Amino acid sequence: MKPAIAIKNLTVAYQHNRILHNLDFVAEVGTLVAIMGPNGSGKTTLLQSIMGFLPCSGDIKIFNESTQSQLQKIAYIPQRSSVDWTFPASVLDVVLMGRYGHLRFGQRPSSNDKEIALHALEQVKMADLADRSIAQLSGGQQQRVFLARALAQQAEIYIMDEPFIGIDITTEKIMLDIFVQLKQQQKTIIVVHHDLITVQKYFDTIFLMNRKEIASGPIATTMTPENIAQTFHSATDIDDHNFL
Amino acid sequence: MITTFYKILLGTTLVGITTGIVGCFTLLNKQSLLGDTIAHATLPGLTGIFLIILQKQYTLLLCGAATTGLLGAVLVQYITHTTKLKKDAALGIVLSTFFGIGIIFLTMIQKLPTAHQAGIDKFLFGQAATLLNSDIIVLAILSCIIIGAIIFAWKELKIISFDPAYAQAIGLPIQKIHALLLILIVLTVIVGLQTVGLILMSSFLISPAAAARQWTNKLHVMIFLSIFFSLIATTTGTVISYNYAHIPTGPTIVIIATMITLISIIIAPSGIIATQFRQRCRNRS
Repeated sequence: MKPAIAIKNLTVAYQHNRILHNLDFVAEVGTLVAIMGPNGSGKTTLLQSIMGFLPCSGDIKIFNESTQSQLQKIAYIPQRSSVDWTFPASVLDVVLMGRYGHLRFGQRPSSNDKEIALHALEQVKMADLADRSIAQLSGGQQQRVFLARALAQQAEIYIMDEPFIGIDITTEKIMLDIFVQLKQQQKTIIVVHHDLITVQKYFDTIFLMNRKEIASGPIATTMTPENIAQTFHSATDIDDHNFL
Repeated sequence: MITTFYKILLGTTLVGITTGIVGCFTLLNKQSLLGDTIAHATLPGLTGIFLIILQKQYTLLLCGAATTGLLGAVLVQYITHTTKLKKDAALGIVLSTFFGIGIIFLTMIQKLPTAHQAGIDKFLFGQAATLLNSDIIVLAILSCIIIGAIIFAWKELKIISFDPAYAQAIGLPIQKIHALLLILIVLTVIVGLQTVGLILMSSFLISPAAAARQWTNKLHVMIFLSIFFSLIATTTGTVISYNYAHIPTGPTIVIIATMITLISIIIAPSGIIATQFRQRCRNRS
Protein backbone atom coordinates (compact mmCIF):
# COMPACT_ATOMS: atom_id res chain seq x y z
CA MET A 1 0.00 0.00 0.00
CA LYS A 2 1.29 3.46 -0.79
CA PRO A 3 0.69 6.35 1.59
CA ALA A 4 -1.64 9.19 0.59
CA ILE A 5 -0.35 11.29 3.46
CA ALA A 6 2.95 10.72 5.27
CA ILE A 7 4.06 13.00 8.09
CA LYS A 8 7.34 12.74 9.96
CA ASN A 9 8.45 14.63 13.06
CA LEU A 10 5.72 17.26 12.91
CA THR A 11 6.10 19.94 15.57
CA VAL A 12 3.79 22.93 15.80
CA ALA A 13 4.31 25.68 18.36
CA TYR A 14 2.20 28.72 19.08
CA GLN A 15 3.78 31.47 21.16
CA HIS A 16 6.33 29.10 22.76
CA ASN A 17 3.58 26.60 23.55
CA ARG A 18 4.04 23.29 21.77
CA ILE A 19 0.73 22.05 20.42
CA LEU A 20 2.11 19.09 18.49
CA HIS A 21 5.33 17.39 19.35
CA ASN A 22 7.34 15.09 17.04
CA LEU A 23 4.26 13.56 15.54
CA ASP A 24 4.36 10.85 12.85
CA PHE A 25 1.21 10.12 10.86
CA VAL A 26 0.47 7.93 7.87
CA ALA A 27 -2.76 7.45 5.91
CA GLU A 28 -2.70 4.71 3.28
CA VAL A 29 -4.51 5.17 -0.04
CA GLY A 30 -8.09 3.88 0.02
CA THR A 31 -8.53 3.79 3.79
CA LEU A 32 -10.86 5.43 6.25
CA VAL A 33 -8.84 6.90 9.12
CA ALA A 34 -10.27 8.20 12.40
CA ILE A 35 -8.33 10.73 14.45
CA MET A 36 -9.24 10.70 18.13
CA GLY A 37 -8.12 12.63 21.14
CA PRO A 38 -9.50 14.80 23.95
CA ASN A 39 -10.34 18.49 23.54
CA GLY A 40 -7.22 20.58 23.03
CA SER A 41 -5.14 17.58 21.96
CA GLY A 42 -4.21 19.26 18.66
CA LYS A 43 -6.47 17.38 16.22
CA THR A 44 -7.57 20.48 14.30
CA THR A 45 -3.97 21.70 14.39
CA LEU A 46 -2.86 18.43 12.77
CA LEU A 47 -5.42 18.84 9.96
CA GLN A 48 -4.49 22.49 9.46
CA SER A 49 -0.79 21.59 9.28
CA ILE A 50 -1.55 19.03 6.57
CA MET A 51 -3.35 21.79 4.62
CA GLY A 52 -0.34 24.10 5.05
CA PHE A 53 -2.30 26.71 7.05
CA LEU A 54 0.20 26.84 9.93
CA PRO A 55 3.93 27.34 10.20
CA CYS A 56 5.39 24.04 11.40
CA SER A 57 8.56 22.01 11.39
CA GLY A 58 8.73 18.46 10.10
CA ASP A 59 8.09 16.70 6.85
CA ILE A 60 4.60 16.54 5.30
CA LYS A 61 4.15 14.64 2.04
CA ILE A 62 0.96 14.19 0.02
CA PHE A 63 1.41 11.42 -2.56
CA ASN A 64 5.14 11.91 -1.98
CA GLU A 65 5.00 15.59 -2.95
CA SER A 66 4.70 18.86 -1.02
CA THR A 67 1.17 19.90 0.09
CA GLN A 68 1.22 23.07 -2.00
CA SER A 69 1.59 21.15 -5.26
CA GLN A 70 -1.18 18.70 -4.31
CA LEU A 71 -3.90 21.05 -3.00
CA GLN A 72 -6.26 20.14 -5.85
CA LYS A 73 -6.21 16.55 -4.64
CA ILE A 74 -7.25 17.37 -1.08
CA ALA A 75 -10.79 18.31 -0.09
CA TYR A 76 -10.79 20.01 3.29
CA ILE A 77 -14.03 20.16 5.25
CA PRO A 78 -13.64 22.55 8.17
CA GLN A 79 -15.86 22.57 11.24
CA ARG A 80 -19.34 23.74 10.34
CA SER A 81 -19.08 26.62 12.81
CA SER A 82 -16.12 28.10 10.91
CA VAL A 83 -18.33 30.05 8.50
CA ASP A 84 -21.21 32.50 8.75
CA TRP A 85 -24.28 30.58 7.56
CA THR A 86 -26.35 33.77 7.27
CA PHE A 87 -24.18 34.72 4.25
CA PRO A 88 -26.34 35.55 1.19
CA ALA A 89 -25.75 32.45 -0.93
CA SER A 90 -27.76 29.48 -2.19
CA VAL A 91 -26.91 25.83 -1.53
CA LEU A 92 -25.76 25.45 -5.15
CA ASP A 93 -23.55 28.57 -4.86
CA VAL A 94 -21.65 26.98 -1.98
CA VAL A 95 -21.31 23.56 -3.63
CA LEU A 96 -20.06 25.24 -6.82
CA MET A 97 -17.20 26.69 -4.77
CA GLY A 98 -15.82 23.15 -4.81
CA ARG A 99 -15.09 23.73 -8.52
CA TYR A 100 -13.24 27.04 -8.02
CA GLY A 101 -9.89 25.32 -7.52
CA HIS A 102 -10.20 23.89 -11.05
CA LEU A 103 -10.86 27.31 -12.61
CA ARG A 104 -8.51 30.13 -13.54
CA PHE A 105 -8.67 33.53 -11.81
CA GLY A 106 -11.73 35.34 -13.17
CA GLN A 107 -13.04 32.24 -14.98
CA ARG A 108 -16.74 31.44 -14.46
CA PRO A 109 -17.98 27.94 -13.60
CA SER A 110 -19.18 26.20 -16.79
CA SER A 111 -22.39 24.22 -17.24
CA ASN A 112 -20.27 21.12 -16.73
CA ASP A 113 -19.16 22.48 -13.33
CA LYS A 114 -22.81 23.07 -12.47
CA GLU A 115 -23.67 19.49 -13.41
CA ILE A 116 -20.88 18.17 -11.19
CA ALA A 117 -22.15 20.34 -8.32
CA LEU A 118 -25.74 19.16 -8.82
CA HIS A 119 -24.57 15.55 -8.91
CA ALA A 120 -22.73 16.11 -5.62
CA LEU A 121 -25.96 17.48 -4.15
CA GLU A 122 -27.81 14.38 -5.34
CA GLN A 123 -25.23 12.22 -3.58
CA VAL A 124 -25.94 13.97 -0.27
CA LYS A 125 -29.71 13.81 -1.02
CA MET A 126 -30.15 17.58 -1.24
CA ALA A 127 -30.73 18.12 -4.98
CA ASP A 128 -34.20 19.53 -4.31
CA LEU A 129 -32.71 22.20 -2.04
CA ALA A 130 -30.20 23.54 -4.61
CA ASP A 131 -31.81 26.99 -4.80
CA ARG A 132 -32.52 27.34 -1.10
CA SER A 133 -30.71 30.01 0.88
CA ILE A 134 -28.04 28.53 3.16
CA ALA A 135 -29.49 30.59 6.01
CA GLN A 136 -32.49 28.22 6.07
CA LEU A 137 -30.57 24.97 6.54
CA SER A 138 -30.47 22.71 9.60
CA GLY A 139 -27.12 21.73 11.13
CA GLY A 140 -27.17 18.36 9.36
CA GLN A 141 -27.99 19.96 6.01
CA GLN A 142 -25.15 22.46 6.47
CA GLN A 143 -22.77 19.56 7.02
CA ARG A 144 -24.07 17.81 3.89
CA VAL A 145 -23.57 21.01 1.86
CA PHE A 146 -19.95 21.05 3.03
CA LEU A 147 -19.57 17.39 2.06
CA ALA A 148 -21.17 18.05 -1.35
CA ARG A 149 -18.74 20.93 -1.91
CA ALA A 150 -15.86 18.53 -1.17
CA LEU A 151 -17.33 15.90 -3.52
CA ALA A 152 -17.64 18.53 -6.29
CA GLN A 153 -13.93 19.10 -5.89
CA GLN A 154 -13.37 15.50 -7.09
CA ALA A 155 -10.38 15.11 -4.80
CA GLU A 156 -8.34 12.06 -3.84
CA ILE A 157 -8.12 12.81 -0.12
CA TYR A 158 -10.98 14.04 2.10
CA ILE A 159 -10.05 15.67 5.40
CA MET A 160 -12.91 16.38 7.79
CA ASP A 161 -12.94 18.14 11.13
CA GLU A 162 -15.66 16.79 13.43
CA PRO A 163 -18.33 16.33 10.75
CA PHE A 164 -20.61 14.35 13.07
CA ILE A 165 -21.14 17.04 15.70
CA GLY A 166 -24.70 18.32 16.07
CA ILE A 167 -26.20 16.46 13.12
CA ASP A 168 -29.30 14.28 12.66
CA ILE A 169 -29.33 10.51 12.13
CA THR A 170 -30.28 10.84 8.42
CA THR A 171 -27.22 12.99 7.77
CA GLU A 172 -24.97 10.61 9.70
CA LYS A 173 -26.21 7.67 7.64
CA ILE A 174 -25.81 9.56 4.33
CA MET A 175 -22.29 10.64 5.25
CA LEU A 176 -21.16 7.18 6.34
CA ASP A 177 -22.57 5.67 3.11
CA ILE A 178 -20.62 8.22 1.08
CA PHE A 179 -17.44 7.40 3.04
CA VAL A 180 -17.86 3.74 2.10
CA GLN A 181 -18.42 4.64 -1.58
CA LEU A 182 -15.38 6.91 -1.61
CA LYS A 183 -13.28 4.16 -0.09
CA GLN A 184 -14.40 1.78 -2.83
CA GLN A 185 -13.15 4.36 -5.33
CA GLN A 186 -9.72 4.19 -3.65
CA LYS A 187 -10.12 7.62 -2.04
CA THR A 188 -8.58 8.34 1.33
CA ILE A 189 -10.77 9.77 4.10
CA ILE A 190 -9.44 11.25 7.32
CA VAL A 191 -11.98 12.21 9.95
CA VAL A 192 -11.71 13.71 13.41
CA HIS A 193 -14.36 11.71 15.16
CA HIS A 194 -15.53 10.88 18.69
CA ASP A 195 -18.06 8.09 18.51
CA LEU A 196 -16.42 4.74 19.31
CA ILE A 197 -19.29 2.69 17.88
CA THR A 198 -19.20 4.15 14.36
CA VAL A 199 -15.40 4.15 14.42
CA GLN A 200 -15.39 0.40 15.09
CA LYS A 201 -18.03 -0.27 12.48
CA TYR A 202 -16.84 1.82 9.56
CA PHE A 203 -13.22 2.87 9.94
CA ASP A 204 -10.08 0.95 8.98
CA THR A 205 -7.43 2.57 11.11
CA ILE A 206 -7.35 4.86 14.08
CA PHE A 207 -4.88 7.48 15.19
CA LEU A 208 -5.00 8.20 18.92
CA MET A 209 -3.30 11.42 19.88
CA ASN A 210 -2.81 13.89 22.68
CA ARG A 211 -0.33 16.49 21.45
CA LYS A 212 1.76 13.53 20.35
CA GLU A 213 0.97 10.15 18.90
CA ILE A 214 -0.35 7.71 21.52
CA ALA A 215 -1.08 4.75 19.26
CA SER A 216 -2.07 4.09 15.67
CA GLY A 217 -2.98 1.16 13.46
CA PRO A 218 -5.92 -1.14 12.66
CA ILE A 219 -8.99 -0.64 14.84
CA ALA A 220 -8.95 -4.16 16.28
CA THR A 221 -5.42 -4.01 17.64
CA THR A 222 -5.21 -0.30 18.45
CA MET A 223 -8.49 0.51 20.14
CA THR A 224 -7.57 -1.23 23.39
CA PRO A 225 -8.85 0.08 26.74
CA GLU A 226 -5.25 0.85 27.76
CA ASN A 227 -4.58 2.99 24.68
CA ILE A 228 -7.84 4.82 25.02
CA ALA A 229 -7.27 5.43 28.72
CA GLN A 230 -3.81 6.73 27.97
CA THR A 231 -5.17 9.05 25.27
CA PHE A 232 -7.82 10.50 27.48
CA HIS A 233 -5.66 10.25 30.66
CA SER A 234 -8.24 8.36 32.73
CA ALA A 235 -11.46 6.41 32.46
CA THR A 236 -13.46 9.21 34.13
CA ASP A 237 -12.19 11.61 31.52
CA ILE A 238 -13.70 9.35 28.87
CA ASP A 239 -17.06 9.36 30.65
CA ASP A 240 -16.95 13.13 30.92
CA HIS A 241 -16.65 13.42 27.18
CA ASN A 242 -19.29 10.78 26.43
CA PHE A 243 -16.81 8.71 24.55
CA LEU A 244 -18.19 5.35 25.62
CA MET B 1 -28.16 75.67 -15.62
CA ILE B 2 -30.00 72.42 -16.14
CA THR B 3 -27.05 70.83 -17.89
CA THR B 4 -24.80 71.70 -14.94
CA PHE B 5 -27.26 70.03 -12.61
CA TYR B 6 -27.38 66.85 -14.71
CA LYS B 7 -23.60 66.74 -14.90
CA ILE B 8 -23.37 66.86 -11.12
CA LEU B 9 -26.12 64.27 -10.88
CA LEU B 10 -24.13 62.03 -13.21
CA GLY B 11 -21.11 62.42 -10.93
CA THR B 12 -23.02 61.52 -7.78
CA THR B 13 -24.76 58.63 -9.56
CA LEU B 14 -21.34 57.13 -10.27
CA VAL B 15 -20.52 57.49 -6.58
CA GLY B 16 -23.81 55.80 -5.65
CA ILE B 17 -23.24 52.84 -7.96
CA THR B 18 -19.66 52.12 -6.88
CA THR B 19 -20.27 52.50 -3.15
CA GLY B 20 -23.42 50.39 -3.49
CA ILE B 21 -21.43 47.50 -4.94
CA VAL B 22 -18.19 47.73 -2.97
CA GLY B 23 -20.13 48.38 0.25
CA CYS B 24 -21.68 44.90 -0.03
CA PHE B 25 -18.29 43.18 -0.16
CA THR B 26 -16.94 45.44 2.59
CA LEU B 27 -19.87 44.54 4.83
CA LEU B 28 -19.77 40.80 4.07
CA ASN B 29 -16.00 40.72 4.70
CA LYS B 30 -16.57 42.46 8.04
CA GLN B 31 -14.25 45.26 6.94
CA SER B 32 -16.56 48.18 7.78
CA LEU B 33 -14.10 49.76 10.23
CA LEU B 34 -11.24 49.36 7.79
CA GLY B 35 -13.27 51.49 5.37
CA ASP B 36 -13.49 54.16 8.06
CA THR B 37 -9.74 54.08 8.70
CA ILE B 38 -8.94 54.23 4.98
CA ALA B 39 -11.29 57.20 4.50
CA HIS B 40 -9.69 59.18 7.33
CA ALA B 41 -6.20 58.16 6.19
CA THR B 42 -6.76 59.85 2.83
CA LEU B 43 -6.62 63.33 4.40
CA PRO B 44 -2.82 63.67 4.83
CA GLY B 45 -2.28 62.57 1.22
CA LEU B 46 -4.86 64.98 -0.09
CA THR B 47 -3.63 67.96 1.91
CA GLY B 48 0.05 66.99 1.61
CA ILE B 49 -0.12 67.03 -2.20
CA PHE B 50 -1.89 70.38 -2.11
CA LEU B 51 0.87 71.84 0.07
CA ILE B 52 3.41 70.73 -2.53
CA ILE B 53 1.68 71.75 -5.77
CA LEU B 54 -0.39 74.61 -4.29
CA GLN B 55 -3.24 74.20 -6.76
CA LYS B 56 -6.44 72.17 -6.90
CA GLN B 57 -5.33 69.59 -9.43
CA TYR B 58 -8.05 67.01 -8.89
CA THR B 59 -6.25 63.94 -10.27
CA LEU B 60 -3.08 64.62 -8.31
CA LEU B 61 -5.02 65.29 -5.10
CA LEU B 62 -6.83 61.96 -5.51
CA CYS B 63 -3.52 60.19 -6.15
CA GLY B 64 -2.19 61.61 -2.89
CA ALA B 65 -5.37 60.58 -1.08
CA ALA B 66 -5.20 57.05 -2.52
CA THR B 67 -1.55 56.70 -1.53
CA THR B 68 -2.01 57.51 2.15
CA GLY B 69 -5.35 55.65 2.24
CA LEU B 70 -3.63 52.51 1.00
CA LEU B 71 -0.64 53.13 3.27
CA GLY B 72 -3.01 53.34 6.24
CA ALA B 73 -4.65 50.04 5.29
CA VAL B 74 -1.30 48.30 4.84
CA LEU B 75 -0.11 49.70 8.17
CA VAL B 76 -3.17 48.20 9.92
CA GLN B 77 -2.26 44.75 8.51
CA TYR B 78 1.39 45.25 9.48
CA ILE B 79 0.57 46.22 13.08
CA THR B 80 -1.82 43.26 13.53
CA HIS B 81 0.73 40.79 12.11
CA THR B 82 3.87 41.98 13.88
CA THR B 83 2.64 43.15 17.27
CA LYS B 84 0.37 41.77 19.96
CA LEU B 85 -2.19 44.48 19.21
CA LYS B 86 -5.54 43.36 17.91
CA LYS B 87 -7.15 44.77 14.79
CA ASP B 88 -9.43 47.25 16.58
CA ALA B 89 -6.42 48.84 18.30
CA ALA B 90 -4.47 49.00 15.03
CA LEU B 91 -7.45 50.60 13.26
CA GLY B 92 -7.84 53.19 16.01
CA ILE B 93 -4.17 54.11 16.05
CA VAL B 94 -3.84 54.44 12.28
CA LEU B 95 -7.10 56.38 11.91
CA SER B 96 -6.32 59.03 14.50
CA THR B 97 -2.63 59.41 13.59
CA PHE B 98 -3.25 59.84 9.87
CA PHE B 99 -6.25 62.09 10.41
CA GLY B 100 -4.24 64.18 12.90
CA ILE B 101 -1.45 64.72 10.38
CA GLY B 102 -4.06 65.57 7.76
CA ILE B 103 -5.66 68.18 10.01
CA ILE B 104 -2.24 69.78 10.66
CA PHE B 105 -1.69 70.03 6.90
CA LEU B 106 -5.21 71.42 6.47
CA THR B 107 -4.56 74.12 9.08
CA MET B 108 -1.35 75.01 7.24
CA ILE B 109 -3.31 75.27 3.96
CA GLN B 110 -5.91 77.54 5.55
CA LYS B 111 -3.14 79.93 6.61
CA LEU B 112 -1.96 80.24 2.99
CA PRO B 113 -2.98 83.42 1.10
CA THR B 114 -4.73 81.32 -1.58
CA ALA B 115 -6.73 79.31 0.96
CA HIS B 116 -10.14 80.69 0.03
CA GLN B 117 -9.76 79.38 -3.53
CA ALA B 118 -8.60 75.98 -2.48
CA GLY B 119 -11.77 74.57 -0.97
CA ILE B 120 -9.79 71.61 0.31
CA ASP B 121 -11.94 71.58 3.45
CA LYS B 122 -14.90 70.66 1.18
CA PHE B 123 -13.41 67.16 1.06
CA LEU B 124 -14.21 66.70 4.76
CA PHE B 125 -18.00 66.75 4.38
CA GLY B 126 -18.37 66.73 0.59
CA GLN B 127 -19.89 69.31 -1.72
CA ALA B 128 -21.31 67.77 -4.87
CA ALA B 129 -21.95 71.20 -6.44
CA THR B 130 -18.18 71.77 -6.70
CA LEU B 131 -17.78 68.86 -9.17
CA LEU B 132 -16.29 70.01 -12.48
CA ASN B 133 -16.59 68.33 -15.87
CA SER B 134 -13.04 67.03 -15.63
CA ASP B 135 -13.74 65.65 -12.14
CA ILE B 136 -16.67 63.69 -13.52
CA ILE B 137 -14.47 62.14 -16.21
CA VAL B 138 -12.01 61.01 -13.51
CA LEU B 139 -14.92 59.59 -11.47
CA ALA B 140 -16.24 57.76 -14.53
CA ILE B 141 -12.88 56.14 -15.26
CA LEU B 142 -12.40 55.09 -11.62
CA SER B 143 -15.95 53.70 -11.47
CA CYS B 144 -15.41 51.65 -14.62
CA ILE B 145 -12.20 50.20 -13.17
CA ILE B 146 -13.94 49.28 -9.90
CA ILE B 147 -17.01 47.73 -11.55
CA GLY B 148 -14.88 45.91 -14.13
CA ALA B 149 -12.63 44.43 -11.41
CA ILE B 150 -15.64 43.22 -9.43
CA ILE B 151 -17.27 41.56 -12.44
CA PHE B 152 -13.95 39.91 -13.32
CA ALA B 153 -13.11 38.65 -9.80
CA TRP B 154 -16.73 37.97 -8.78
CA LYS B 155 -16.27 34.35 -7.72
CA GLU B 156 -12.98 35.08 -5.93
CA LEU B 157 -14.50 37.98 -3.97
CA LYS B 158 -17.51 35.81 -3.13
CA ILE B 159 -15.50 32.88 -1.77
CA ILE B 160 -13.17 34.99 0.41
CA SER B 161 -16.23 36.72 1.84
CA PHE B 162 -17.88 33.40 2.74
CA ASP B 163 -15.08 30.95 3.56
CA PRO B 164 -11.50 32.25 3.28
CA ALA B 165 -10.07 29.10 4.91
CA TYR B 166 -11.60 26.92 2.20
CA ALA B 167 -10.39 29.33 -0.51
CA GLN B 168 -6.88 28.85 0.88
CA ALA B 169 -7.36 25.08 1.08
CA ILE B 170 -8.12 24.82 -2.65
CA GLY B 171 -5.07 26.88 -3.48
CA LEU B 172 -6.65 30.23 -4.38
CA PRO B 173 -4.31 33.22 -3.92
CA ILE B 174 -6.26 34.61 -0.95
CA GLN B 175 -3.70 37.28 -0.11
CA LYS B 176 -3.98 38.68 -3.62
CA ILE B 177 -7.78 38.61 -3.46
CA HIS B 178 -7.75 40.39 -0.08
CA ALA B 179 -5.34 42.96 -1.54
CA LEU B 180 -7.70 43.47 -4.49
CA LEU B 181 -10.62 44.06 -2.14
CA LEU B 182 -8.51 46.53 -0.18
CA ILE B 183 -7.61 48.46 -3.34
CA LEU B 184 -11.27 48.47 -4.38
CA ILE B 185 -12.26 49.95 -0.99
CA VAL B 186 -9.54 52.62 -1.32
CA LEU B 187 -10.67 53.52 -4.86
CA THR B 188 -14.31 53.68 -3.79
CA VAL B 189 -13.45 56.00 -0.91
CA ILE B 190 -11.54 58.18 -3.41
CA VAL B 191 -14.56 58.25 -5.72
CA GLY B 192 -16.77 59.45 -2.87
CA LEU B 193 -14.40 62.05 -1.42
CA GLN B 194 -15.76 65.11 -3.17
CA THR B 195 -19.43 64.15 -2.87
CA VAL B 196 -19.82 62.45 0.49
CA GLY B 197 -16.61 63.65 2.11
CA LEU B 198 -14.01 61.58 3.87
CA ILE B 199 -15.42 61.78 7.40
CA LEU B 200 -18.78 60.19 6.57
CA MET B 201 -17.61 58.01 3.69
CA SER B 202 -17.43 54.78 5.67
CA SER B 203 -20.96 55.24 6.91
CA PHE B 204 -22.18 55.71 3.35
CA LEU B 205 -20.19 52.67 2.24
CA ILE B 206 -21.95 50.44 4.76
CA SER B 207 -25.51 51.82 5.16
CA PRO B 208 -26.96 50.92 1.73
CA ALA B 209 -25.38 47.44 1.89
CA ALA B 210 -26.68 46.90 5.43
CA ALA B 211 -30.17 47.99 4.31
CA ALA B 212 -30.06 45.69 1.27
CA ARG B 213 -28.92 42.78 3.46
CA GLN B 214 -32.24 42.97 5.37
CA TRP B 215 -34.31 42.25 2.24
CA THR B 216 -32.61 39.33 0.54
CA ASN B 217 -30.53 36.19 0.88
CA LYS B 218 -29.09 36.41 -2.63
CA LEU B 219 -25.80 38.20 -3.24
CA HIS B 220 -26.63 39.69 -6.64
CA VAL B 221 -30.04 40.90 -5.44
CA MET B 222 -28.33 42.41 -2.40
CA ILE B 223 -25.93 44.31 -4.66
CA PHE B 224 -28.69 45.70 -6.91
CA LEU B 225 -30.74 46.77 -3.89
CA SER B 226 -27.68 48.35 -2.34
CA ILE B 227 -27.06 50.36 -5.53
CA PHE B 228 -30.74 51.38 -5.57
CA PHE B 229 -30.72 52.61 -1.94
CA SER B 230 -27.40 54.30 -2.52
CA LEU B 231 -28.78 56.18 -5.54
CA ILE B 232 -31.83 57.41 -3.60
CA ALA B 233 -29.41 58.92 -1.08
CA THR B 234 -26.99 60.47 -3.58
CA THR B 235 -29.77 61.92 -5.75
CA THR B 236 -31.54 63.55 -2.81
CA GLY B 237 -28.20 64.81 -1.51
CA THR B 238 -27.36 66.28 -4.91
CA VAL B 239 -30.69 68.11 -5.24
CA ILE B 240 -30.35 69.64 -1.79
CA SER B 241 -26.68 70.51 -2.21
CA TYR B 242 -27.32 72.09 -5.62
CA ASN B 243 -30.11 74.32 -4.36
CA TYR B 244 -28.66 75.25 -0.97
CA ALA B 245 -24.94 75.93 -1.37
CA HIS B 246 -24.31 76.18 2.39
CA ILE B 247 -25.53 72.65 3.15
CA PRO B 248 -22.77 70.07 2.74
CA THR B 249 -23.78 67.06 0.62
CA GLY B 250 -22.15 64.32 2.72
CA PRO B 251 -24.29 64.61 5.86
CA THR B 252 -27.51 64.83 3.78
CA ILE B 253 -26.61 61.69 1.83
CA VAL B 254 -25.57 59.79 4.95
CA ILE B 255 -28.71 60.74 6.91
CA ILE B 256 -30.95 59.53 4.08
CA ALA B 257 -28.95 56.29 3.69
CA THR B 258 -29.13 55.68 7.45
CA MET B 259 -32.88 56.28 7.46
CA ILE B 260 -33.29 53.69 4.69
CA THR B 261 -31.23 51.24 6.76
CA LEU B 262 -33.29 51.93 9.86
CA ILE B 263 -36.59 51.46 8.02
CA SER B 264 -35.26 48.23 6.46
CA ILE B 265 -34.20 46.85 9.83
CA ILE B 266 -37.71 47.50 11.12
CA ILE B 267 -39.97 46.45 8.25
CA ALA B 268 -37.97 43.96 6.12
CA PRO B 269 -38.99 40.26 6.11
CA SER B 270 -36.15 39.46 8.52
CA GLY B 271 -36.71 42.72 10.41
CA ILE B 272 -37.87 43.57 13.91
CA ILE B 273 -41.64 43.67 13.23
CA ALA B 274 -41.71 40.39 11.30
CA THR B 275 -39.56 38.63 13.91
CA GLN B 276 -41.78 39.85 16.76
CA PHE B 277 -44.88 38.77 14.85
CA ARG B 278 -43.47 35.29 14.21
CA GLN B 279 -42.49 34.94 17.87
CA ARG B 280 -46.02 35.86 19.00
CA CYS B 281 -47.57 33.39 16.58
CA ARG B 282 -45.24 30.68 17.90
CA ASN B 283 -46.06 31.52 21.52
CA ARG B 284 -49.78 31.27 20.81
CA SER B 285 -49.52 27.91 19.12
